[in-house]
Amino acid sequence: MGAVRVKGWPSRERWHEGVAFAEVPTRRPHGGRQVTVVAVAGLVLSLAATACAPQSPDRSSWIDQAHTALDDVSSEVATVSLLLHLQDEDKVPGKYQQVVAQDSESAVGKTMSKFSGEQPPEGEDDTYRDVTAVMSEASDLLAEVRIAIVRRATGEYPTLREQLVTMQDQLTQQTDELEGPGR
Amino acid sequence: VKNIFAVALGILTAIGGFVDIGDLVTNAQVGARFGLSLAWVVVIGVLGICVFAEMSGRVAAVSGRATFDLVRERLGPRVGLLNLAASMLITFLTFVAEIGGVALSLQLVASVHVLLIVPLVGVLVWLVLWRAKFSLIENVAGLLGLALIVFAVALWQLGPDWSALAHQAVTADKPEDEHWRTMAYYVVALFGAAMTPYEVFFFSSGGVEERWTPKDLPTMRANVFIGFPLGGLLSLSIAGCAWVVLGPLQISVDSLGQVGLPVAAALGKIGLAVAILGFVAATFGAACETGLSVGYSLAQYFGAQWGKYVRPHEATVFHAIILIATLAATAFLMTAVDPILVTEVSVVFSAVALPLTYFPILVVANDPDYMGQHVNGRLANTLGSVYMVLIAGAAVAAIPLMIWTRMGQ
Repeated sequence: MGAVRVKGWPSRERWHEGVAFAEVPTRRPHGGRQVTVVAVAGLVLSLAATACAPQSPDRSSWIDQAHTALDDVSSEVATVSLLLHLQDEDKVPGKYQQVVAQDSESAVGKTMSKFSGEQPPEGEDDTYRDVTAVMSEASDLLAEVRIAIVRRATGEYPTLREQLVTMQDQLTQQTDELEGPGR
Repeated sequence: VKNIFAVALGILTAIGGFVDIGDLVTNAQVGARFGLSLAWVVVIGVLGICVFAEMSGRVAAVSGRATFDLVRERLGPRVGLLNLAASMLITFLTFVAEIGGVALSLQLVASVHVLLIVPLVGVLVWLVLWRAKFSLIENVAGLLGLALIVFAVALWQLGPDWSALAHQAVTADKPEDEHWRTMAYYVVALFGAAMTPYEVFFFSSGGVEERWTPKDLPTMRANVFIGFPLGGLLSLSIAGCAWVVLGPLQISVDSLGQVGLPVAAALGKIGLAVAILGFVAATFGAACETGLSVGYSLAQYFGAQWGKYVRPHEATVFHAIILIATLAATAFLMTAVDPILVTEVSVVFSAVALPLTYFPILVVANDPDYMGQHVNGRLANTLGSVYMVLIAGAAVAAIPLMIWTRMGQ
């Protein structure tokens, strides 16, 4: 098959002659620069104006975000639950456990912080309180697990595992309520 | 015997070097959520990287010059600059992600804060790029990366329902609780992870470093067409393990520690230790490759002396670029940005930059003035053209899907 040639591309010979880097001065309409300046200024102003205001999603979007936040927290609780299960079988070294538990705890913290920063729509204050409360409980529980793992307090693991299972049930229940009738 | 050893070594390093932090994270995320439903994307992505790696390797072997060198010469400084800008941005972002990946992998062993490890990794990567020989970097990291085969062993040990996995892979079945748009987002992310631009630039420049000639074409093709697909099987093993262990528990992967849990479940502490060795080798090897690729791309575009096969004082620009890139990547990570997030972003933006990266390679590999009798044949051109369409589709869809799905949530 022959070579692909595109009209206007410089030939190799011109490169070897050393003219390849010779820039042709380009003209830019003066108005184009003004438009750019105005657009950038507008963007900066709008960012500055909205930076301090909390996010105010509509009801459906807010419910979606609550759903996602609960799923994320549930995933982290399940991760730590699996971790303790594997620890029971002596399959995970202590330092690895610490890192995974800390990662899960900080992930829940980030999720909570992100969701709490969203402005709940009118009439959803109770849901907001319920969702943030259950996430807060999960965060506290993951902190307890992390403390136990760092201290190698293996005696506490069976109780913590039960609490993690209960917590997952609560998170699932809260998610179901979000999907309940009237939503 | 020497030739057989060279081919075997090349294939093994290609397998071990195929997986990087993007593949580790994306395949585990996709596996936990979709099982092997998106295995076809890995297959298409691996075939795509084989097509373009073979082209760029052939260009290097026949012309004795690397891809960027020829792209600038053949397509002119403007198109070359566009190509450079797009691929450099992604390669640098990938470099950041890989250094972060090494730090996260070491954190799993050391259990200290990742920000304490990042500067050490930055220094170590720079030292290796400065002092170590090219073949040493490529072979050691590639061979140690083979430790990731532990995922295939773990999948076997977990004893999944193979027929169900095969059914998923063949029918591309979407789990009921997932949206099509989320699936489409992960299709693009997986495709971007498999076809990361740096792999081609590293492969092509590496060919020049190792002074390939047309006689080396069979070895190069064996590396590409055997090594890369076997590397792709490692990616599928990671996804399979995640589906079997993490999927039923509804765990979505957002940390490297979670990626290793299925191996621990299957093989215990020893298996996990091997997996961590694989994480470190894969990410460290990829950090070296991306760091070198940054140096290669810029030095080749600006016509400076480059490469590990010349002494550092003869390639000062090349080594200065690597030093600055390593400092910048380390500084970026020290802002406490999440390396996993950087990885997720880099694989999606990789998809955006693919057309600008791969189109010039197709053009150069088609030029009989450079390639002579080794110019692209009918099959290479057909595959190359089909992939250009796929790549264009992925590039257009990547950003809208990222926004629409809030990065796959």
